[in-house]
Amino acid sequence: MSSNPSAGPQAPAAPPSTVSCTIDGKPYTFPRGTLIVDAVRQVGRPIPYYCYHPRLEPVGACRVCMVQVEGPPVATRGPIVTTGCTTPVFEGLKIETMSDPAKLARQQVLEFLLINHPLDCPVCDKGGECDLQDFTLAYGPGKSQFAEQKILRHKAEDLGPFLVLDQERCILCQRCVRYENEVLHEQNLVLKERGDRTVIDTGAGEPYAGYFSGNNTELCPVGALTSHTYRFKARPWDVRPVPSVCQGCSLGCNLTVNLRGPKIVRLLWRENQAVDAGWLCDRGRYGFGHTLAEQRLATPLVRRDGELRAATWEEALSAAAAGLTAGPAAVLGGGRLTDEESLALSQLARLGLRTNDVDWRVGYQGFAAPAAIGLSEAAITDLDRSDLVLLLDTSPLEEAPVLDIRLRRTARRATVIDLGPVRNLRHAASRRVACAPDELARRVAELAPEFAAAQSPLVIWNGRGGPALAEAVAALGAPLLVVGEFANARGAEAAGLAPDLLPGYHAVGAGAEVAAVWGAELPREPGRDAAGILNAAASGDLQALYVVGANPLRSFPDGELADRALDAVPFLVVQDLFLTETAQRADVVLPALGALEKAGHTSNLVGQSQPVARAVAGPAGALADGMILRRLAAALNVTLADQAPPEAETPARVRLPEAGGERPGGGSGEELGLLLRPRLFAGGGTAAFDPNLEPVHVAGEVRLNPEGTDRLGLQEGAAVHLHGAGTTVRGTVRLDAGVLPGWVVLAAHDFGGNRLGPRVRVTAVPAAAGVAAR
Amino acid sequence: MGALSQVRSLGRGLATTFGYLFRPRVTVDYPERERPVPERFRGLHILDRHDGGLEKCVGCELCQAACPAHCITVEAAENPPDAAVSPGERYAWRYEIDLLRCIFCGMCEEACPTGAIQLTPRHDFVAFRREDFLVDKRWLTVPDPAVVAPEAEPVRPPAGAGGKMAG
Ligand code: SF4
Ligand code: SF4
Ligand code: SF4
Ligand code: SF4
Ligand code: FES
Repeated sequence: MSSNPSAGPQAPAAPPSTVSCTIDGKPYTFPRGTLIVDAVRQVGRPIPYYCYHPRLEPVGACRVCMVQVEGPPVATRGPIVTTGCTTPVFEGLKIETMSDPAKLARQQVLEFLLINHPLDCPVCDKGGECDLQDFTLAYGPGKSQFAEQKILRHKAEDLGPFLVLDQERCILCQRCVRYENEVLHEQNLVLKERGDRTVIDTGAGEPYAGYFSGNNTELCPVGALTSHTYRFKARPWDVRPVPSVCQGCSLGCNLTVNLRGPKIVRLLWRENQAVDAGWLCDRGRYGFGHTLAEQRLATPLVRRDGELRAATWEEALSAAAAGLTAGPAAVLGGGRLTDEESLALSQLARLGLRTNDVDWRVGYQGFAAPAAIGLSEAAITDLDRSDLVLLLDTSPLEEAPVLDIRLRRTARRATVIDLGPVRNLRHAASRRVACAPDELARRVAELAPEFAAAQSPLVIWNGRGGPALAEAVAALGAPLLVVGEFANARGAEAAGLAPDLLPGYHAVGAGAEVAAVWGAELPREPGRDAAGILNAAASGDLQALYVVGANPLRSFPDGELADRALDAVPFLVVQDLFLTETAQRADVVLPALGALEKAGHTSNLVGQSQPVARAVAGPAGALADGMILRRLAAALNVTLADQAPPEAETPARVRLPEAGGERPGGGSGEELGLLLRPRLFAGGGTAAFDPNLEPVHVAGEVRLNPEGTDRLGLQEGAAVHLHGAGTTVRGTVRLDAGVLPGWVVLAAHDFGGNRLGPRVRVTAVPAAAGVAAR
Repeated sequence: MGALSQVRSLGRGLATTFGYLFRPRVTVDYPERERPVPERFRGLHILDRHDGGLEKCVGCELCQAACPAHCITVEAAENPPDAAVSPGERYAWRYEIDLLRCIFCGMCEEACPTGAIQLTPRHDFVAFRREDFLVDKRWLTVPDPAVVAPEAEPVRPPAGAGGKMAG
């Protein structure tokens, strides 16, 4: 995992670090400062709690965790009943969880909580896994003395794209509010009103706007905060849990798939402190709708008489095999495959197509592993102790959201330098250094003294910017976290899906060990990178192109080149889940299974290979990429090796593609420089086709600094045309002070933006034309 | 043992047989005539309605959970705001019982918080195909007095609820 093991701070000499106490008569020893609730939980004694949560600060709001304690420092007063979540254990403390006073106290708290609670259990999504049900059954009074009319409040209140609130069911434990405050440093959910009128609501009364709303549904101990996607879909007792790993981005948060029958009904977090710290983002949590989306490809398609028509697998594979071997062929994509499938694709390209024209980098990312540019690797948990972090033109929030949660915590005590043309750390304080893309390398070099002085510095970068920037980063000498553009970019690179790399970071031309495992001679000349492949295709040097799980028409920074290349190449095979823009141009379309529909391993951004399970079957006519590759390899007379080639002792360096031309606008101020920057819910992967994510889908978003927009007559929400080199796209203005003036930001992977060229003119769409265009 | 004792025992046996000719009959001419069932007999199920016509079932799945024979399948959905099926937020868009599996224990009735599922004294279930014993909401729900002709549409998932799950 990490080549930078943490030394661990030495514990300072202190009073004994453990204390001894008794719980229900039995003696135990705990580290000093352990809360009673944790101690009791650890030894397996029962204790109810609502407001306490292991990942939140204790607050003592619900009063249900009552235990009886006796001993120092309360010895003089005799036994008292107190909240276990706000009291640490002391030396000699006697804790009784089931004494009569403790029982009575809990009973009274529960009776009080139920005074205004509705009798909703049969229609409540939490029913069956509700702490209020469970604790009332275990510790509650048999009946209530309250005979008056309950207070009525809003039910089924729509809080935003994913959340539903039932105010009546809320027990005001404030877990949600504290999560928003302490963990996210956002205020998307707040308490409003006072006393018995207190309710939870979104901050401004606007729909919930953050990326992490779903965690609230798991934090909420009752059925107050639930989700639209799971609403009334199942009961906890009819779901089957399957542990897996999210492949929505390169972080690889651990999760549990919940299935009812053959369908996914929800995804839940599965805490892995080293990766996700227990959280999921909404992209990961709700992005499972594509498994049942209607547009899923369920049968192979072959172009006949100019049209894509349904075909059998045999027909499609033999057509693909024939087309791919008719002349020089190249492979693009692979960043969304499993580790095993990436290896298979690598071998198929080298031995089946006899080419090193292979590249997973169909977007902006230039490399995936720090070792590929000769740098050392940071662990994700290094963020918890680093004192200086450089955020290099990278947005963890948009590219690996749960990493941003950790970074926000880091930013509370460490310096975070947010360098680049767009402000990327949005929910914590940082030292913002705004600069144009062409100044990045110089600005990074300027930070060298500061980095030299730092104890434990760290760089977060998404690998965009070319060799010059990589050199500047390398000069800082700090460990690097590379946020991947595609979920398994790291696995693709490690499998040698690059023109100058073989599996295990052997250099092309020096792959004797790889050749030994694969049992065949390898092509020795380094191949062309993605831009080279597309150029060759556009100029007629390539006979065939095999695109696997990629959509270069949307993702490649030079969309115009991708367009020409796909037009010119005589034979195009596309393997994907959906009929993407690229797949629509194909001669053969091979329907593949999605991330939750196949088993294997996926490498996250620090190269940790995590197992993924096949949770659902997927469309009957589609095959796992690995199976498609196996069958295609058979058609090409290649036997895929079961075994991965050994790793190279010193990893070979990757030749980085030159940075795409991001240039400032023209002098007149009329022209703006164009930046394509990732947005979480934009793009042409599964997110674009996911009905669950539809409410948050980002398309045509034009981000501009408010400065100077009046002169252009542009306000928030205005419809605009962006005029670029030879093409015009339409979008909607979002004013964003975090964007460098003189630049306009479009979402990477949002269709059209990559065809505008480096400079655009922004004009308001005349009102009448706006209506007509609809 | 002589022949005489054999004849005697034959006669004794036949006497029992012929004796029944003169006793009251215990069989009835079913189905023309039916025997009354005990008051708490557990026969075929119904899904009841409230007086106003709304379905009592709220799709809570408790009957499904309670059923020891696993023969109930319930899938719930949000009540359409303008055409509520049941009181409250939730109703069962799918409700199926496999009557061949059911052991008529009445646990479903016991579990139901709204009194929707009830076992009636009715016990005449005949069909020529197994599938016909898999009954759904149209069969189970008592007719709505306000609706003259019961709707003949098949049971379909409401928009957004997705397709049926198998089994
Ligand atoms: S929150 Fe819990 S106790 Fe309240 S209605 Fe829902 S299931 Fe019942
Ligand atoms: S909504 Fe849930 S988590 Fe938030 S205060 Fe209410 S009960 Fe607690
Ligand atoms: S009577 Fe028993 S076996 Fe039949 S449906 Fe009800 S619970 Fe199941
Ligand atoms: S019949 Fe009763 S127990 Fe079964 S789902 Fe409907 S309301 Fe719930
Ligand atoms: S859990 Fe201790 S007061 Fe809420």
